[in-house]
Amino acid sequence: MSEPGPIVAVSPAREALRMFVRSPSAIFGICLLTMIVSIALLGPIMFVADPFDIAAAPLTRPGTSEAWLGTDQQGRDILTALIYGGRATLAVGATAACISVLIGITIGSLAGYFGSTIDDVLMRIAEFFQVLPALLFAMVVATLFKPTLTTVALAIGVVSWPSTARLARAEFLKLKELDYVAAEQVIGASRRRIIWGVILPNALPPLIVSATFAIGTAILFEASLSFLGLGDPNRMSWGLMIGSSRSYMLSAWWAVTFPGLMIFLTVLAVSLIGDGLNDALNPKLRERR
Amino acid sequence: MADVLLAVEGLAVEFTGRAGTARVLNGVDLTVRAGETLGIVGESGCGKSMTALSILRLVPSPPGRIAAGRVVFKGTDLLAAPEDHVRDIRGNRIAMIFQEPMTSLNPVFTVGNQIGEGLRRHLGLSADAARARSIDLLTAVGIPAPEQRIDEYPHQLSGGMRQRVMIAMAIACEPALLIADEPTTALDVTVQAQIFDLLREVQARRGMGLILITHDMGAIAEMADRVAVMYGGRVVEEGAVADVLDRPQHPYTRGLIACVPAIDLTADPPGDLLEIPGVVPSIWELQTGCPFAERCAEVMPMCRQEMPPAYTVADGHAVRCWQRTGAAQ
Repeated sequence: MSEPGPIVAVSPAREALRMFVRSPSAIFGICLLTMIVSIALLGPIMFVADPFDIAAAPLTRPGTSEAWLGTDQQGRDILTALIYGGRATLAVGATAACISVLIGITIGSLAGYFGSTIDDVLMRIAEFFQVLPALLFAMVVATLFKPTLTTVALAIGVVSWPSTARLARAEFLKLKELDYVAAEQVIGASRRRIIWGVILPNALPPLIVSATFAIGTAILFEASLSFLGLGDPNRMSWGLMIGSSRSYMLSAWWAVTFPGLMIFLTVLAVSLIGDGLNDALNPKLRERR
Repeated sequence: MADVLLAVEGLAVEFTGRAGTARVLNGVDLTVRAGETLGIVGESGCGKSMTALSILRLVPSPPGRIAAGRVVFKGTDLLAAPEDHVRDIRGNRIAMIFQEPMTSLNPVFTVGNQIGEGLRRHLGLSADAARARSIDLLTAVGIPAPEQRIDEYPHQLSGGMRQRVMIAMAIACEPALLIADEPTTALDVTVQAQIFDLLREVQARRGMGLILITHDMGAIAEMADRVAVMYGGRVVEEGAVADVLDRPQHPYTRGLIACVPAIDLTADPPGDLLEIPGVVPSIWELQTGCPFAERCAEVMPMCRQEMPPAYTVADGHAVRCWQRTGAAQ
């Protein structure tokens, strides 16, 4: 038996956080995302303008005093649109990822825990959504209903949950056999408590990582829908900017490059964070460092 | 004689698989009185753990199914009781300790959190009261510096410590019956003795009934008041420990006792380790007659035809073997 001394209890979560902040790429991702999110949140407050207003002559080149990053074919200021568009893109991305992860975890957990018929039925539903061309389905949903930010987020969330569900199911299949789950049953825990209070916390690490990547996917999805003109036309978003200027791509590179760059940086930041989390939460990868 | 705490009567459990339906337990009868230790002994696959799980109605279903029998705990048949009622009994009136302390604790919660859970659930204690009780319990199971240990996670404890934590969890609500399923198999011999001392002490202090499941005849000799020898899903011999160990009636019991290695340095050459030839029959094999017949040195033609009935050798000492029944007739 070890010496009773001042032992500092290290929770698995704290240990993971320690690993996470050690990774330079993860820290870079966090900084980048913080910057982008603060621009999107604070920019419109400090810099009041209407992104749909005409600011200068159409297709003004970047570097002029009235439009630093130039204007698009309707004379709308690119910088203003970038600042305002970030809100819609990030909001849809985050909401869609939340919806997708919530549906995925719920369905995957129940399928994995109960198994047999429930598993079969839920996984066939998941497969149905997986074989469906996701973009096409989201387009149909977005066209059937009025394309607002909410319907777009719902459409993306509804098509992208099966991968999270499969992951949650696999974790549940593995974890439900472990002794501490049986031990929990033996002390009289209800089924609800075992699923959500005992198994889920142990299944979280890979799910957190997958949720992070889901945000990146959802942002790209939103951009694709807006590019195709199926986003909310009354809200400026990066996808909408690219979409509305796509015919001028060769003559006015700045109208598509800057929003494209923003999408790229956001997805990059989210992916770096996801990678960092994966390294920190996965004990097998942790040993490599 | 103390009151009967738990009576298992004619318990049968079936598993259905691709190959058909197999009887894992085939008419198990057991009784445990308050303050008494019943040892259940047998090789792996004899149905010891399945008996324990059936008592708590935790047989994985499907594929398992309790096909027949009663488990009467303090006058209530647990197999017929509603699920809510059984859940209130689990951990509160009947508790269980598992074989593997390394995997029986949830890695993402602190020790205190896990001990306190049963207290909050069954006794309705507040978080503070549960914490205070948990510290008392950790002290009771002999964990040093419990005020610090309570905030630790399972991976920071050794195997012996974890088993102590499991025992603390199990006795938290002062259960009337504790089922210990090979509680020391995964531990060092020295730690094993400590855990047995602890179990005995807890039992004496609280007057608990204890079911000790093991494959170790030495543990039975040390701990149990009565012993049930299981083979092929049946209790083949049952009686007071002194009777069964001194005058084993069933060839299987005698085999198990002979297999305990003795420390004898004077023997030259060292004595051979004994074994019972053959293996436990697969549950999928259709059985008629005595399940031990294939491995028995004293097998008679009759053994392969019909399962022998229970035959009382002496007061409280019963055996299921045609050799004994036949000798009496």
